[in-house]
Amino acid sequence: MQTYEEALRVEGLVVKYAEKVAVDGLTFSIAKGSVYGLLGPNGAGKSSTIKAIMGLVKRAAGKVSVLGKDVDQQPIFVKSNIGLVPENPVLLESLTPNEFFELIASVRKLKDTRRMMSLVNAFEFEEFMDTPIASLSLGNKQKCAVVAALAHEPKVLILDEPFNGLDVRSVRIFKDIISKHAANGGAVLFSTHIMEVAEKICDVVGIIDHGIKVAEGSMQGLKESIHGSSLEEVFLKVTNMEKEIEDVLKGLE
Amino acid sequence: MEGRRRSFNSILVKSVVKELLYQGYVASRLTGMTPGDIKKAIRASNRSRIFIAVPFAIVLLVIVLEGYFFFKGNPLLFPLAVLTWTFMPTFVTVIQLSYGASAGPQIREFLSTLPIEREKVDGIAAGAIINALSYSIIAPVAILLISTPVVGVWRMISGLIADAISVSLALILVSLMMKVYRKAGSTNRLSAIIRIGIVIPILLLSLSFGYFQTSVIRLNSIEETFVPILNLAGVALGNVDALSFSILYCVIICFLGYVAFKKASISLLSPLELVSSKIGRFNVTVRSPSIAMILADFRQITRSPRLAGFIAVPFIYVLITIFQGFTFRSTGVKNILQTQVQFVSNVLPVVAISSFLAYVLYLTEMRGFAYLETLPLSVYTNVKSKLIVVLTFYLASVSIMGLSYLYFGNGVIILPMLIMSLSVAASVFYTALYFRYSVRSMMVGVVGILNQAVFTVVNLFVFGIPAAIYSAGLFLTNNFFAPLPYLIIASLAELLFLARLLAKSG
Repeated sequence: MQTYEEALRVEGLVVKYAEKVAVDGLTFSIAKGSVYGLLGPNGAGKSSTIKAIMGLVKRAAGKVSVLGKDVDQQPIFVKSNIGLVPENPVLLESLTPNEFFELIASVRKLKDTRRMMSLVNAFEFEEFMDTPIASLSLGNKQKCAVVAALAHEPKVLILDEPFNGLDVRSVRIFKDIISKHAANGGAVLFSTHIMEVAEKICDVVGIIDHGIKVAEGSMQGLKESIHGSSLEEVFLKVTNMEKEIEDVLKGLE
Repeated sequence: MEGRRRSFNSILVKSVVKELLYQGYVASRLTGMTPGDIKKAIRASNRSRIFIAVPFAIVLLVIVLEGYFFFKGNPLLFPLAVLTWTFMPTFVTVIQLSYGASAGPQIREFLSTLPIEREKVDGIAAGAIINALSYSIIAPVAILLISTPVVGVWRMISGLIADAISVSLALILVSLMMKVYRKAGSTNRLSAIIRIGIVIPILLLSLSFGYFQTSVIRLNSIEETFVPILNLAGVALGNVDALSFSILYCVIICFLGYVAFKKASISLLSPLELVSSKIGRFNVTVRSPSIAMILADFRQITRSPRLAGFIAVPFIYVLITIFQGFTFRSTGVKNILQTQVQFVSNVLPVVAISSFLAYVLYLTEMRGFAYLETLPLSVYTNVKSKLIVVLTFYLASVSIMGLSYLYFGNGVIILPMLIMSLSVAASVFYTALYFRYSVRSMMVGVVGILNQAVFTVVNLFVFGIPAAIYSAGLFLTNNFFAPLPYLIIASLAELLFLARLLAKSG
């Protein structure tokens, strides 16, 4: 019998901005060795969920644990085991990638920087190592964030729209890294609103709308239970967008 | 047709001004603001012009009246005070606007994609920056006009000319600085020196009050009539020839200022496009987390065009102290009251400015602050780094200052200065608390003007309470030793209290 080992657990998460509820009682868990797709339309609460997991916004309610440790009780342990690619790669922009990676490698107490260097080479990024991050293109800033997230070989990867700005080659390499990470027992929280990408990468998906989870399951399970031929169809059905889109299209005709 | 074109230009200028103020205001704030915060930021950015202009205007009024009543025998001081004071808001605001606008390509790209000639784009960009400065330009004019019944028409005219010259000189200087800065690149040593040039207005102001007030400047009739800027003294005394020449010089400087500024304006609103001169190679050294944080802090603060100069401000007060020490010694004036006053006027500003250094550091890394919070750093690692950077600058300033006091025979002053490092440390803890709160409450704490005002007032109390207790004891007892225990108790108490709060916040 296969045991289900949780890498990340979010329970009853509530995030509020003043009176506005961004996430409303969200519960999900990610097993070791799997990729969990957190899907939802713009403003559904995906990034707020990730910020709450990382301790960047206050939780109004709920618990988060990573590898069995509570994020409030053991924040350093949790952050040491997470690799984050944020939605907007806003890094320390006056530093060069060399200086930024030096900070990351030092804070994460890396024994050596060989993996970091091979990631830099894999993403063909070396020529920009002495250019201030502020002057890099969106894609190169994203590569910087990806290298920083993967360098310490974290057990849990949290990726918020990680392919933003990346070229085809880099996306391909990154997808492969994600798959291998899961195959080696790592867990991935993959937030996106691009269904095609999620369908190819994720083992399990959770769909949220207006901060509430409206569906969850394996790709096949969801297609069967919601009666959709693709993840996009499932998504539009559970978020009640199908009818709305039909009306909009009629209006355009 | 002409009317339509004019209104098209004015709409463009208005839009660019709005974006310029907004970008300048939020440049160093956290990204990912909520819609509510963005609305607040837009409102606050529009009001920020008034918040800058009003205090400057009030201080200018005090300067104008002080110059008139206390330094009647020094006619140059009046226009010079107007010139140096007006220089500050113009220069600093343009640097601030440029820093904000250069964070993204929006403004330049917006203007460049419009179907208008390059020269018009330059004109719109220059017009937008000058429009954004309008309150800072109008405020001195209003103050001079209001004070005319007291200071007289001739002084008012000399002030107005000084005002116009000052604005033009500031625009010329800022255009030159940004041009060289952009050519040099942000990691270049030359551009680090240029960034420290932001203290020029403070240096000018310090010279104006530290040097010119205490010096008797005797001008001959040729200097009073023909030499630019010096002939403003002639204007203040009612010399018509001096007036004619100063107006001529003023027109020339204004023309040169506008031409230089117009040429540089679009690049002032553009992002830095820095391509490293060498092909990069992977060169990463693993250090201890604390050392890495300290290095990153030093790198960031010396690369921020807006903030790099801030670290040099305490040293200006050190220079003033040394200068005053020599002046007092040469004039034979030296008594305990003199050093008490000097303590309050020269030492306390160093403590006050140093207590805002942590705020400057956090603002510098603001855009990446949320990212840093996701790294496995303990509450104290980041704070420790800020503490070390701030105390390094503070202790360097007070050491030089203390040595100069020792040279002039009052070395005991170094003791309260050293103990006040506890207050500076307490300010670092308070600032760390403020920024942690800001991150967790999605930037609201940083964006609102009211929140910033609250931060500033509370921080003034953090350094001000122990300083006030010590100063009161100093004046009551005429002794630098007697109030020291009270200073130690007050500083330690607030340091421990804030350290406890910070530990709880983690």
